[in-house]
Amino acid sequence: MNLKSLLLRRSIEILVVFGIIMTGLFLLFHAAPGDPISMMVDLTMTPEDVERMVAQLGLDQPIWIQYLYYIKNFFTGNFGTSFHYGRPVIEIISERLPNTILLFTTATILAAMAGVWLGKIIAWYKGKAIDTWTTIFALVCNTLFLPWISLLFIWFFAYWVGWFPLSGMMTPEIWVNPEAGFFAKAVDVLHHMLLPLLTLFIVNTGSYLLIMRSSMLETIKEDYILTARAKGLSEKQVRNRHAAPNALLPVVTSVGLSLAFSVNGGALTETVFSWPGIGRELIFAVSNSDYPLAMASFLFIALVVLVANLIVDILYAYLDPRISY
Amino acid sequence: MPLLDVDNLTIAYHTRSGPVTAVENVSFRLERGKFLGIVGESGCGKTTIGMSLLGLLPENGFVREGRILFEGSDLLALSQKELQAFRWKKISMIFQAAMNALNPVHRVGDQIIEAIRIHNPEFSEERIQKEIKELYDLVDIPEQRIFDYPHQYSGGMKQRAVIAMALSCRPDLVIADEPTTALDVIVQDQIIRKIKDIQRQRGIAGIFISHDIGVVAEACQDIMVMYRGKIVEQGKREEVFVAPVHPYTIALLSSHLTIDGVFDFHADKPEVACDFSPDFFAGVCGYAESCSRAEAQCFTAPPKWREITPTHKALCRLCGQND
Repeated sequence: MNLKSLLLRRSIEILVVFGIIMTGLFLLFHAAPGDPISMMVDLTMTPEDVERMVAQLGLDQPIWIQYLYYIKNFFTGNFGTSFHYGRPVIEIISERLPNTILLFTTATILAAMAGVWLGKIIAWYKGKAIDTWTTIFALVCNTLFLPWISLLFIWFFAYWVGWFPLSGMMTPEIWVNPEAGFFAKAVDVLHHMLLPLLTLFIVNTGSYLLIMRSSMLETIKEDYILTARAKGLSEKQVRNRHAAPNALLPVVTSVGLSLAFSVNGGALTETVFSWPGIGRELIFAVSNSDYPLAMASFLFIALVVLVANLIVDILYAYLDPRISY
Repeated sequence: MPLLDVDNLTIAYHTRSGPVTAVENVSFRLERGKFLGIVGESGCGKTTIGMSLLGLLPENGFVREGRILFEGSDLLALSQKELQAFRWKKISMIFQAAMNALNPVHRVGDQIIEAIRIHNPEFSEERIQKEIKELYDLVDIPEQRIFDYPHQYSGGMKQRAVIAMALSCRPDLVIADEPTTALDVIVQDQIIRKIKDIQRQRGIAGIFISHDIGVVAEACQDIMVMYRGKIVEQGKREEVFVAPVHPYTIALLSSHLTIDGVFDFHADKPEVACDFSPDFFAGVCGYAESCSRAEAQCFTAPPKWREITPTHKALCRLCGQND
């Protein structure tokens, strides 16, 4: 399989899918109840003012002209101005999206690594007490309701013990201090990040552990595991060289999916921890009819999901030589 | 001293309804350079014997009785570590389902090299490359295919690669468990020829496990017929195939289709008797209920070993009698 051609093909596919998503979003927003103008009108405006504003926004044009403007604006990076913030949407997105990616990607990757490692080992002790207890623990972690455990952690670790800040992503004093270097800022963000990270880690590790464990148990039954044993490999070699690489595939799929979902599905977590990410912004924008912001948030979330899928595809092709696209 | 001396081997599996004996009182010897065939229907314990020789019984399997002596030393007494060093170096195996015996995510060559490396850590990189090229040459796979993945091989190539893998550490004994079952007859024939060639060239001993009598007849000098975990007849190829005495062997041979009808002179066909109830070991002949020659005592007393010639014997009270 040629990695270059895979990349090219998948990129084209992504463009097509993204085009469909863009169009769908456009139509959905048009069909949505409510009128963007009504959000901007105040009592001092005359009907002529309102009409001028409608014309300025291009809302008096036929729908296909509006659509073409929408496409053009996307490619020129013009997403309009947020009704609420009064700032260009692109600025807000570029502030929020990296925060979300930082938190959730880190959590997902760490949880996947821990889950794979633990699941791999636990599967080898199937039926023993350590397997039973770890599996029960993982099941409990996996079924925890994320906002609930988040609140519990905030109460315990941040309020009661006082190890972590209660919310947010940074301490204003450090960030306005001109003398604070990059290192001090990074430590500050990390300090804020640890608690949400821990929460996500615990919940996600449970699910990856369970997937890896059951995938390992399936793989162990395969004939090539018997071959590996017969060749005189030690149990550890059999596990690490012959069982784990094959068992990894379902986990990769799951990681890809949760990477995608984390961008929007993390809205609750972000809200609980007051993490200034895009999920929280999206909920805010939708509930306040901030159309430009909501639309751009949706588009960027879609883009992140597509890119995450592409990464998973590449990883998959790397892990399983039977797959060629 | 024979290469392999199996004495009174009894193997059972733990199940929910108590231990079930899968192999009972099996004894045989194998000399260097000889091939032994084990024939029998599915579930008769052939594969269990093969697995026990490598210490690879499933978790619920255990040797209840008996000894396995390889070059005079007791295999059952080996520790896990000793067993790992012993496997493949002394006894290797050509697996039942070669299609699945290769790990799909590793290159075929790497999987063979892995075995060579583990057992010969002193080998240099050049030596290993030389070994693997020789092996591929031996099984007639072009060198440039060494580092392909298993899914890029055809069925016959996979089977030959598995044979190459089995020979990679120059073992004294190769166990071939249904090596040709999944292949079409043309490829089957090629594989059997290959195995016979290799036997001649390298002088290794082998145990050939199959339900296909034709395959066993072609490759082996000694034959063991198994039924429900017991050997019912064993002897030289000519003895067992040309002058079978046990009713089961006779029935088994007569069910085998041949073009020239060599085995076709027996009217008896074996009946399906696969129900593996634990109580069939209760000291009567396991074949009695399917046997057309069974007499009243077959159902009440255990069968006896009858010696037909010094090398040929059968487990049946009716055989070898002048009736």
